[in-house]
Amino acid sequence: MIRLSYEQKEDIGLKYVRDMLDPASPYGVKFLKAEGFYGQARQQALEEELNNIALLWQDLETQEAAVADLQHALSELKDLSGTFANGMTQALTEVELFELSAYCRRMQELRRLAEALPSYPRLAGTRLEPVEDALRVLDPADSGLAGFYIEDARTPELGEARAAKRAAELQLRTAPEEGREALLKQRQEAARREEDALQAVYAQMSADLRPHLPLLQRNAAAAGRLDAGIAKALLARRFGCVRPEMGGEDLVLEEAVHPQVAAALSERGRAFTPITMTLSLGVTVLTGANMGGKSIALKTALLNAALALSGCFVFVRSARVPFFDRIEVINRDFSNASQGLSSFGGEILRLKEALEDLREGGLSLIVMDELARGTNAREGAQIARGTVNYLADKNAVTLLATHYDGAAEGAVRHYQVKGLARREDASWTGTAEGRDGLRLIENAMDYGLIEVKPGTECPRDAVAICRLLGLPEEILS
Amino acid sequence: MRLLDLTAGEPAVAMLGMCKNAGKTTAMNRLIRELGEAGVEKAALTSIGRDGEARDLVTGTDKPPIYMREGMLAATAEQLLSLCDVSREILSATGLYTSLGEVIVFRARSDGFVQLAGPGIVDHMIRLRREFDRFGAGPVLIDGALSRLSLLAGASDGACVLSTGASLDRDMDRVVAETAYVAVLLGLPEMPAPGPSQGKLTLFGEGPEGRTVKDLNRIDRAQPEETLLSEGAFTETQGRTLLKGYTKKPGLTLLVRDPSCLMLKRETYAALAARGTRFAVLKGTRLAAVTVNSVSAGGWRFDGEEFLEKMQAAVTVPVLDVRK
Repeated sequence: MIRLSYEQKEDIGLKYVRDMLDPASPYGVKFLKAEGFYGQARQQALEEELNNIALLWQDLETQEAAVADLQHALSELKDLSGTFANGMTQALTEVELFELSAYCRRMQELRRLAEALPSYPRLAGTRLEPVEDALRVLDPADSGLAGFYIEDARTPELGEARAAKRAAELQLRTAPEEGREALLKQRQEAARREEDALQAVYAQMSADLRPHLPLLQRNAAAAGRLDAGIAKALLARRFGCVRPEMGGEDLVLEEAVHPQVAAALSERGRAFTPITMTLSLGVTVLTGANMGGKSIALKTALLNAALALSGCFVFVRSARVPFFDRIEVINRDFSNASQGLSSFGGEILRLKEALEDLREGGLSLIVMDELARGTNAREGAQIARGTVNYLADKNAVTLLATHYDGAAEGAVRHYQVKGLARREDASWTGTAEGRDGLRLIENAMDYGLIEVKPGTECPRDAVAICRLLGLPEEILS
Repeated sequence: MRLLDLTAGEPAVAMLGMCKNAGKTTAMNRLIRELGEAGVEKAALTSIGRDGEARDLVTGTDKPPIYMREGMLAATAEQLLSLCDVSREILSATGLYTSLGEVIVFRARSDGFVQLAGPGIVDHMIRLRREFDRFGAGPVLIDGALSRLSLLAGASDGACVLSTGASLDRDMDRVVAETAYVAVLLGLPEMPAPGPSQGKLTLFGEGPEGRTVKDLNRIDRAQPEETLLSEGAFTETQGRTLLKGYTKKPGLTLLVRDPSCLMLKRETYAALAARGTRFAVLKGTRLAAVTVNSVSAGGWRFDGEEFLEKMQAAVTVPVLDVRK
């Protein structure tokens, strides 16, 4: 069971991406909210969901107008979950019955539009069942009225009461002042009988409708899944996302992008450097310059893995994602302070929990950003190295970003940020003040990753970075 | 004289009362009856933001006061439907909510009593008007209130009918004068802003470039033909300040958003007007008629003829006795 906290979802950008999904109906919203992660146990469901996205994307390419019509019909659906629940146990009100009949008519329309989509027969979990039986209860005369009205002929009591009321009303239209009181009284009596008769009709209708409510609820769920699928397909098309290949034990990302970071960069006229990496069982270590984008690389890998596991297409050129049973994010979490833990203490406790989780079996994805950086360098490096060695033969795919030398010696793979690669350029040398220094670094930094022999010494860029940021030379020399 | 004729051709008619028991409901019922008799079946009824009053009705025993005609449309809050004894076909659940539930639109399938509680915000009233349009309804009769005139001005583009009566005050002359003042406010001419507002108060000369007024005392060198635009309410205190340095700024036009934004006492308004200040609104309404009710809820009553005559002499629009 994959669990990420709200803060973690926000931090890795999962919330950012999921929030961009814009379903048209309340049922689509509900589906997305309840969707969660597809773990090992829901492999087939995940494949079906990804398949739905692929099919709906095809429809978007060939039948865009039809999909737009469908979305419009979806947007007309109201959330009737309260009414469905009421209807199972009690008599519904006239407004609830009206809502249900409007719902059924919209379902008919929705079904017609969905069935016109070429991919519809192959979509999973979006089957809309016929609602005619329910509609016959709500509108037995098949009046075709868009509104909701109980005709006089429905019961003798109703017919009698309405006739009496109408007679009084007609007379009231022209009656002189002195006769009005009696007529009003007469009318009021008839109105009371009408109300009683109507309540009896509503109760009977509600009882007759009860057996059909489960079907109406199933249709709501199907409409929600269809709606969410369209939203996902639209997002995938907008960003050129691809379907992840699921399974295996290696997390393989080719040219992965983090859309939230990319959007922020593009506002400043910069482009995101895509990240390519393969994470296998054991520990993959990522080292590199400060400000070299290690954390971003980590988040990019995490985000795309999490997206795939939550039934979305991913922001990559291609990707293979194992069915992880757990995603463990271990970083310096500032929320620990509120629990009276130092950030170091919090981090180590999280690591301990993640290691304990391994005993449950299944495959973990563990991502650690600068493990143990909050302590002295000598012991911190020991902890990092020890963790790498410990995880080497566990059933976990681990990515560790670190500055510590030697941590990578026991790693299965080692990536380095290319770093300040353009040292030869004259443009970046010299110092600058504040923000300009940031720009110099951005110009000089190559955020790409290269794979090196595990244990290759970490690049020493920290002093150069400080110089670029304009720290006094007295300190640096 | 029929209210129907006085409001003919208006897409919306707002019913306003000077006080409780001024005869507003009687006037509305009269207009509904006249519409019905004239065969205007597509009229639509609602009210603007009267949750508070309507809430009392849910628990109270008051008889629903508005009597609508078969074929007309009405919009009211879901919880008030059970207080309506008209046979109804539910047409739409609007998705607009009041504290008494969602606003429901229905068509009357008989004559009968309705209890109205419509949307309480401008945007919702505009959306409800669109919903009425969808069913081809019109004109829209809105049970309004002077205190919610601002909402009405924003959401309706029609006329209004002002009801007044002995319940307002024991002194007939006072009732007449207060009512006439409100009638003047309701009849203020519309005028576009000369330019963009620059703050709470903006003074415009000839061009569209205005300047912010921080202190009303400081505008005493204003040229004639200047316009003072007030963004929000223009208060009694501001009115008095303006009045103090008056001799130096005759010919000023005071422009407010709608009549409800002019919160001056009758005397202050009169003093400013007497010294040449003109008043205008960005969004106004047309006062179609005044109705009078000579019987008060407190037990006293005015001489009907005299009241009608005095009221008629005090306003420029037709005056009707609702009880006739």
